[in-house]
Amino acid sequence: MPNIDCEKIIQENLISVAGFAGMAALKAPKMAKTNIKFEILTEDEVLPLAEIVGILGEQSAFTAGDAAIGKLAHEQGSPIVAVLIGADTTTSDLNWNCGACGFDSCAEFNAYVKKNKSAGPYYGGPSCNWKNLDFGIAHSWACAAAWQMNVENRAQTSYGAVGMMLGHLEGCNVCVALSLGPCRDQVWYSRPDLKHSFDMKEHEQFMLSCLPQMQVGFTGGGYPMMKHGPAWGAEPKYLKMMEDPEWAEKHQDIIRRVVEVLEREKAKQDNA
Amino acid sequence: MPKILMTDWPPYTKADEARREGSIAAARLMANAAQTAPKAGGVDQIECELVYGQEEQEEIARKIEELSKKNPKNKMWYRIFRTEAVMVREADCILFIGNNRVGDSPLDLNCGWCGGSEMCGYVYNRKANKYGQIDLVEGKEERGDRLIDGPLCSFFVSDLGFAVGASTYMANKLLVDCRPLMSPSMAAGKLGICTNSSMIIALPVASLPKNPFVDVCPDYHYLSRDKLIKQARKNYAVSRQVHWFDYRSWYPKSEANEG
Repeated sequence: MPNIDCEKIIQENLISVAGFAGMAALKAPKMAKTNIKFEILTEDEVLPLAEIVGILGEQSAFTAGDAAIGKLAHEQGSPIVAVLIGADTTTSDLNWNCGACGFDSCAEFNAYVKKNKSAGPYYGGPSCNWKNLDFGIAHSWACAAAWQMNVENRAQTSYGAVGMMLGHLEGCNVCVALSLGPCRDQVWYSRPDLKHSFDMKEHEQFMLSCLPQMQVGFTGGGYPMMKHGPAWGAEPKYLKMMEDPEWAEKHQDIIRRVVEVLEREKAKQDNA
Repeated sequence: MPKILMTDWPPYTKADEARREGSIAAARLMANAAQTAPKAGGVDQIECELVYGQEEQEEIARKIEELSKKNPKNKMWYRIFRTEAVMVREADCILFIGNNRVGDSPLDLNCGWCGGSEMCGYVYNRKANKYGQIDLVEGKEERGDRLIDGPLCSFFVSDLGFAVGASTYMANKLLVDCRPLMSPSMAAGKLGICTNSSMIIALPVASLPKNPFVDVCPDYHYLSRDKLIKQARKNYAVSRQVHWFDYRSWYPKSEANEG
C-alpha cells in the first residue's frame, strides 16, 4: 500500500496552484493601480455556484456546459477548485480624462457613477475602462500561471458572476472565475464528459438560430427562402422576427429559482 | 567564420541592431501570445503592430511630448508623459496591441459591466447606430477630440487586458523587459497605429543591461540618456581645450614625473 494518496495530493496541489494563480494576478503589471482581489473555493463551496449556473444554463448553452462539468467533477470525486478574481472598477481615481468611458473627464464620469451605479445581469457598472483593462491583465496572468503548471483551467464569467451573486468578493463589480482541474486532458475544452448531451436535430436548430446566414437562399428577390433541406425550393420556408412569450416566461422562472437558491444560501450563512 | 557581435553601445550600430533583433523576435512572440490569450467567446478582436527604429520611435516620443500638455489640470500627467517619452526612445521596439471591437462591435451580452442596469444600451445610446451596427463617424464631432473615443464595450476592454496580460507574461518568461505604458498607448491612437482599434496599449520592449522602464529619476531631464550624452559631449569638447598643450613637446609637471 503506497504511503502517498495521489488523489489527495492532486486536490491539495490544485489549491496550491490556485494560490499561485491568485498571486500571479496580484503581481501582474497594472496600468491604473487597480486593486485586484481573489478568493479560492474548494469542494462543496463550489456546489451552490454550479447549481445556479445550471439554472441559468437552461437558457444559455455556454453556461449549461460550465455547470455540467462542475457538478460532474464533484460527483466523480475530483472537484474543481475555483479561483474567483475580481475588482471594483466603478470609480476612476486617475484624472486621465481620456474619454474611454464616454465622458470628457474622470470627474464627470465619477459624478455620473455616483447617481447611476447599478447592477446588470452579470456585472455592475458604469466602469472605468483602464481599471477594466487592469482586471483583464491580472486575470490573464492567473490563467497563464495555471497553464504553465500544466493544470487544466478555464476563465469563466458564469462561475464568476454567480460567485458575486452569492456574496463572494464583496465590493467588486466584476468577477471572473478561473476554474482549475480536474487533472485530466481536456475537461473544459471539447468537453468529452458531455458526450451525448445533444443530438443533431438540436444542433441544427441552434445553428439556424445563431448563424442564419449559412442557410439563407438567393437574396435577390428580397424575401429569401431558408435552405432547410434538399427540397427547400419546393417547400418554401422563411425566417421572421417574433416575440416568444414562452421563452420570456421561462426566463422569469429561471430568475425566480435563482433567487430561491440565493436566499437559501444566505440563510445558511446567517445560521452558521 | 561568421559571427554575430552583440552589444548595447553605441546605439544603432551593427552590434546594437543585432541585439535589438532579439527583442524584436521576443515582441513577435508576445504578439502571438496576445492572439492566443483567453477571450470572451473566443471572438477575434486583437490587432498588433510592432514599431522599431530610431526615426519611428522618435516620432512616437514627440507625439507623447505633444500630448503631455493636453491635461494641464493633472500635474502627474505631464511628468508621466515626459518620463515615458524617454522610455520610448530607449526601448528596443514597441509592440502595440489594439482591440478592433471595443468601439463599434460590442459583445452584445447585456452583462452590465459598462453601464450597469442600462446594459448594452450604455454604449448604443451614446453612439450613432443603425441596424445594430455602431457608426463611429456619425456624431464624432459632438464627442469631441478625446484621446479615446468612448464609451467602449467593457467586456472587450477586459479581453484587451487578457491579451496584454498574455503578452507581458510571455515577455516575463523570455526575460526581456517590458511594461505597458499609458502615454504611448494614448499617442498610438493619434498616430494611426493599430488603426482599426478604439483602444490600444503600448508595450515597449528592451533587453538592455538596465531595465529602462523602472528605477527612474524623478525628473526626466536627469533620466534622459540623450541629454546626458549631449551634455557630456559638449563639456568634453570644451574641457579639453582649456589647458593648452602640445603633446609633442612637453608634459605638465607632476609629482610622478618629477621623481
